[in-house]
Amino acid sequence: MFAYITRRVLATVPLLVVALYLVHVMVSATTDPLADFRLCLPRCQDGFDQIVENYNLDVNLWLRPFTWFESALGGDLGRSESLGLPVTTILWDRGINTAMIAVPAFLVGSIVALLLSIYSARRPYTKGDYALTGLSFIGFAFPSFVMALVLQNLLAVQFENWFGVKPFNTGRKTGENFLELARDVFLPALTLIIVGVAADSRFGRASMIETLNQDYIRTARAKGVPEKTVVWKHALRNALIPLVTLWALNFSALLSGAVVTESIYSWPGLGPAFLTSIGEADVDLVLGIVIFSAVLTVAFNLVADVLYGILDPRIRFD
Amino acid sequence: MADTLMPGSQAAINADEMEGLSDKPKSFGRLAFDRFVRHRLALVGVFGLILIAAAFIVGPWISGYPFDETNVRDRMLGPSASHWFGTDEIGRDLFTRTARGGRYSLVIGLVAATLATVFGTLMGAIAGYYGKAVDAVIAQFINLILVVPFLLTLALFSLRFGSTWWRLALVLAALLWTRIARIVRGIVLSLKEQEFVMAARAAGASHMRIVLRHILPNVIGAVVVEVTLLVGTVIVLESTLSFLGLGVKAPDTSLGLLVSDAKSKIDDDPIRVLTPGIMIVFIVLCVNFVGDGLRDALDPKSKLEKN
Repeated sequence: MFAYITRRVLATVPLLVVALYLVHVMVSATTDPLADFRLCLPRCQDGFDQIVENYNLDVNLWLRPFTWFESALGGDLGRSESLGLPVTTILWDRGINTAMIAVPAFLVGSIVALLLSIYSARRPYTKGDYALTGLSFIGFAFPSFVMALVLQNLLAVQFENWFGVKPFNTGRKTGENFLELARDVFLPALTLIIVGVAADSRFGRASMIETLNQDYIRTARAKGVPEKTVVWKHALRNALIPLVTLWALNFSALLSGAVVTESIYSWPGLGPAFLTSIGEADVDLVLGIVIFSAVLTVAFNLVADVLYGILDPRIRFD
Repeated sequence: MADTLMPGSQAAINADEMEGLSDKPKSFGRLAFDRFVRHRLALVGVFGLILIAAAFIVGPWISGYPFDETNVRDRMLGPSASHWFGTDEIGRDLFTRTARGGRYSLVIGLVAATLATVFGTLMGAIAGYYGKAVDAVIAQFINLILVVPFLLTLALFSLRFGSTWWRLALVLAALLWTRIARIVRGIVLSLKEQEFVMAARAAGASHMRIVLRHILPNVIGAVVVEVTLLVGTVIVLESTLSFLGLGVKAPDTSLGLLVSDAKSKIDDDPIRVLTPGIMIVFIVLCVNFVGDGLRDALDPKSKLEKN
């Protein structure tokens, strides 16, 4: 098992290095941090030189990534020019903010999606199933920015107009106690939950229906195993295997920052930082976020693989 | 004897016909079509898409406003008989603009999904058929595309090469072919070991001919479903990009850009955000209905009765 994990991690390193190199070259080639300075050149020579130094612009485009790799190996991911902070500090602070909405959204969303898909799969092609499937179809068709804007307007602005109280905040306030924090977190988390549940429950329903049609389920029922045990033990454990992959992908994606949702709710997470870094040609921050999300993806895929082995002991790692 | 035997056998034949046993067996395509037509949601989807495409194409003629004509006296109007969706803050007719944006969404969705499918199918077929080193190279290439966030690649391309609709479609296709390639590769891997491929090779068919004539026709079912679902993905992605200011740019417009324009005025006029937003939801919903219907119709295991 340990050898397997080591091998998997080592296999992703070259891929990540190539990806980071290409991203560095792409960002450097498409953006010009000197654009503003060129116009005023004789006067602002000092600022010009400072930018050249900060971005290593005197080094050839194709060689520039190597200076970055050199310092990154020493644990220094560089400094974000747009936010004026070290990249590691930004990843840590913003990562915590993102986790504040990502963790509740993932936990609640996954559990709700699982319960709904079990409900649907136990009575396929009935009214209840059609209602849920219809809702998930509609939710799935909503782009997250439309969903976020609708929820924000409905539950924060219009709600205040109608009832005179504002139940939820939009954006991260400085509230310290738990209730204030919950008011901050609620709307962005709810947006992510609705969008996620709509996507997951269709997948979960299909996986659960397929499992419930297997022969061993019929055998279990035939020998008189109670329906509860059949569904929650025999079927669920097997239906979970494809879902675990989906959860690993979802959770790593959520933790890397929901760009659209966080931006709309002005949530100071990784998503808006990523948008800023692209807009401002902030190479170090772009690379920092790319590494961050890649490491998360690899890590959670490994967790998913380990969970496979627990759910289905027949699966061997070799 | 003869008198009694004839009616008897006649009756037997009639009974056979009534149960459909003596009918010529229906072809797979015919069965799939029958299943698709009985899939109510799929028909709703097809009808909805035709309706909305027609509205987007014909609508601007009827409304009679050019999409970029400003009229400062009629700004920020609500929906009315002369301006069906109202006007924006410099008095442009929002129905005409929504129709124009919706046309872009549909065209970009179709073009990008088609390109991604053609390329993905080819790459998947090559990877699956040749295997070994070719497969490994393509797999690493796919991983490379997936490890870099889509948004970053899309943003950089749009900064570098501008953002006309066909460039946007090209970049989206260049990013979205990977899923189809993986699916096709999986199918081809199992197909190439089957006897009919061996027979074709024994008969002297070239690799190219085997892939194009014998293997790809078997893949089409899965691919058709994927391409439909991909249209929905592309439309959502394109509108998100335009919403973030990385897709179609002003003075031209798209559904995502219309939502973004309306965002700042959402407290006064929430309806203005909803109209283009609901258009996106409606289009994607219809596309997904069609995809779902196709999936059921093209699945050889599904029965005619179930819909």
